[in-house]
Amino acid sequence: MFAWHGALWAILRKEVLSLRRNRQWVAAEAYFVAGAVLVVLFAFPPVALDADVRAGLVWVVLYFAAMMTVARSYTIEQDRGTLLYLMHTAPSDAVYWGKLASAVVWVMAIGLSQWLLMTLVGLIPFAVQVAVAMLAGCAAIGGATSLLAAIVAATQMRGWVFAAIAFPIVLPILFLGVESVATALAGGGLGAIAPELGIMLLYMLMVSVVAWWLFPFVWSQS
Amino acid sequence: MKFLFYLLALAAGIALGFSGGIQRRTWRRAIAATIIVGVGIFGALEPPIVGTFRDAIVEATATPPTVTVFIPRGGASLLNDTLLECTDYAGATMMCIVRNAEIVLAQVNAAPMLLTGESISHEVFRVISTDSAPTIMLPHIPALGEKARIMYFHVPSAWAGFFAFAVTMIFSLRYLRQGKHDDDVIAHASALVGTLFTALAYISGAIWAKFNWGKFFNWDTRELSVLLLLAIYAAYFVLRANTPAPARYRMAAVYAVVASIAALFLIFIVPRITVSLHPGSKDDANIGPILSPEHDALDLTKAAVFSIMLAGFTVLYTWMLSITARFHILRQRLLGQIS
Amino acid sequence: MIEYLSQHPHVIVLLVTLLIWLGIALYLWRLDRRLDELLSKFSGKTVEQDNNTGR
Repeated sequence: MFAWHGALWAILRKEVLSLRRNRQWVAAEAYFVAGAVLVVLFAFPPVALDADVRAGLVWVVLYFAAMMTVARSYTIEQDRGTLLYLMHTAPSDAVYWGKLASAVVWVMAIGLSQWLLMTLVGLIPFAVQVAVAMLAGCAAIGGATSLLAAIVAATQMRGWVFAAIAFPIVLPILFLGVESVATALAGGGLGAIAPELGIMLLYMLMVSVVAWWLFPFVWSQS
Repeated sequence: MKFLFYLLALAAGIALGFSGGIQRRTWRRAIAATIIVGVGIFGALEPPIVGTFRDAIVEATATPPTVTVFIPRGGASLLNDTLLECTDYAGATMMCIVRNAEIVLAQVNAAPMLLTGESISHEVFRVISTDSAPTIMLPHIPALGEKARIMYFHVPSAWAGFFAFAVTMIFSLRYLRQGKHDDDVIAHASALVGTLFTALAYISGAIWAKFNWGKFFNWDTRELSVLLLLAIYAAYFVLRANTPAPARYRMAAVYAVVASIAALFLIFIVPRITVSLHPGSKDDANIGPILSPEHDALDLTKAAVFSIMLAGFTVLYTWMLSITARFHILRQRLLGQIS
Repeated sequence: MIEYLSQHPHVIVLLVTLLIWLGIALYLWRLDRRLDELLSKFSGKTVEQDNNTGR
């Protein structure tokens, strides 16, 4: 059934290795998140903020950090000149799911580090449900925008084209993500945020399955 | 019954608009669009909006507080020189202050009448003017009054905007499956026309909202979902403009299909699970004037006029789509972008 | 202006109706102009002339 699962693991392994070789990307992401959290801290004393405002701030930082990450997953292949090589050596299904999985994991890692940082500086209380809400949102963003990253690899002015085309796709996730983080910050338990997270993950699943079917049209030369 | 009207109107509009193929010019489309939209405009603007005494009591604090009440033939009896007891078409009774009660009584006994005025208490209605009732009348919708007529333009143009997006998606899918270049041109043309209709629905809605809800933009989820549709269209054009030619058509088609999931989600699911000012949202017991289950005669008139406008805007959209698509096919052939 | 309009709802209706037709007219006018540009581009002019007019 999964004739390409070997290739899938190979792609995942390749992603991790290339990340190790490009540690400046990790540093860039970390600087971005830390910088954004610092700016928030300079502007507001954390105790004075409502749950809604804090949820908004959490998602502003998360959204831009995630966009930076996902946009890179295919353009990096083109910049290194490895796009054609990958096209000819790996089945497209393996490339799609491998890239998607690495995007999900990578965006979730950013979400986790942001949660840790924000909890440490006191912007958000230490609560599991906040972390769950943020991580689910991260997973949904990574899964829903992976195909778009492949599309922008074929365009000019890639950075802002990605921002433009990803925004409408990510909007439902942002909408539900802000609601769920706000509920969690206001003291709601896992049960209170479960419906929103469920809809969000269902949405991600729908988008990623349709994108899987569409991927061969994007992933071909000409 | 109402749903049958709407479905028939949509089916007729789509059949008239798409028969003969979008790439070809047909007289049917042009004539149908002109006639149906013409009749629709007449139906939406000409008939008076009539209500009941109950509506008048509800609107007593509104600006302006005047309501036109429909009195069926023989629905009045004399109390004194300036006072009549009138019964409206819903069966409610109120005392009406008029200038000359005997003249008005004679008029009501001869034919159905419209009394325009305002309720000054729960029992008394002060009549400002009287008129004989025409054959076609539109029902009063609470809190909307005369502004209810905007509905017959605002909702069909929003429908045309959404429908255009569905057409973009369908022709994008066809392009991906069959690879015919004309399908891509139609998908692109539909996005262009759809942007226009969505923008018009948005602007007309903003003006309406200013006078009904107090602000041009209310952070309402329905407003957000239309804004999202505009964002999708914008992203679609940005993508087309920034992708070099052979890949452009394929990438745009793929994007239209993926974006349609987000559009479906924000148009149909999110507005119904969140609190909104528009009818049909989570906190709203009232499903709205278009889908309400009432079925008196006036309500059917409303449904009929609304259906005509839906069909009219659908055909108008296909006409504009056909012109735009043929223009782009010609342009690309002349400029040698495709053989 | 806002005060006047809220007193006269039929003017709002008129405004919205006109706006929608104005939008459609504007769209057709733009298409008309682009069609004209295309026609003049292919109406016997040479390529040099086109370059001179910047078209």
